[in-house]
Amino acid sequence: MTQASLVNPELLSHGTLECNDIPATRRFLTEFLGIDVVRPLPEAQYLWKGGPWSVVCVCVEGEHKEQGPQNRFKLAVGSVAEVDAAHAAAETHKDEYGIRRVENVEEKNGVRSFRLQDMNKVWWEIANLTQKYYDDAFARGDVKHA
Amino acid sequence: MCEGILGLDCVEPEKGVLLIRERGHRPGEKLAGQPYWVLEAREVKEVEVPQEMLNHWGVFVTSQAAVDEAYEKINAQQKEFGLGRVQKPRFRHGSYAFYFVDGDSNWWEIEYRTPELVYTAIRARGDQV
Repeated sequence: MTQASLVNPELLSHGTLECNDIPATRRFLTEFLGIDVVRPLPEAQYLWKGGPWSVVCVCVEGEHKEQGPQNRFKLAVGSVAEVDAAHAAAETHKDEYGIRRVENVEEKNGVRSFRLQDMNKVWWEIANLTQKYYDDAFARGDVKHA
Repeated sequence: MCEGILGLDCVEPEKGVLLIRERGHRPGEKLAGQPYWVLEAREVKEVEVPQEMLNHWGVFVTSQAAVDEAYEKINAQQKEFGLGRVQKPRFRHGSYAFYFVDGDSNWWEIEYRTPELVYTAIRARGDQV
């Protein structure tokens, strides 16, 4: 990326998701997913896990549109054992936290992961990834097209 | 679009997959070694769930003037980049920002926040509700 862009951002700052019940969603995010949460506004809470970026969780009334598993947030854990432990915990505590679906664990190219859908129909993926995985991908550059 | 408009660092590690992060994380650059998050875009024949404004991705710029400048440039090249709506900047919740929609229905926000409203400052204040 050497050419000038129209915007010169200092930070990829935030993403968003919707919820219907802020306290129940916060409980799932903090107790189950281990995400840090702060609520600066009546209608929104901000999620983060290190770094300066946030995911803004906006409370909406009524049924909101399901985003589908192709639009999901991926959380990185440090080992395949942690992926398996998270999967087991999701199965055990799904009713307690309103988890709607827990998919099977899969492994592809050394990355073990599974997806779950929370009470707000938001999809999450838990995978054993490190920043080095992405550092290496960016360092290798684009795949060569045939 | 992510490179030409948003100035993000992109790589295609396999056919049909695009990884996107902010610039500056490569070895020797100012953010090297710091954590970052990655957007992963996957090519599909048809976008099953068109996105709406409440499902957007945001970038911070350094000033209110930078928001206005970005708006002028993006609005002027809307057709060239195949964009949908480009909304005018306005103040909202203490930030100054505008939204635009890309050709795949993804919404993007270009935003300036004063130092007391950046996310790290909000976290430091704790819950306000």
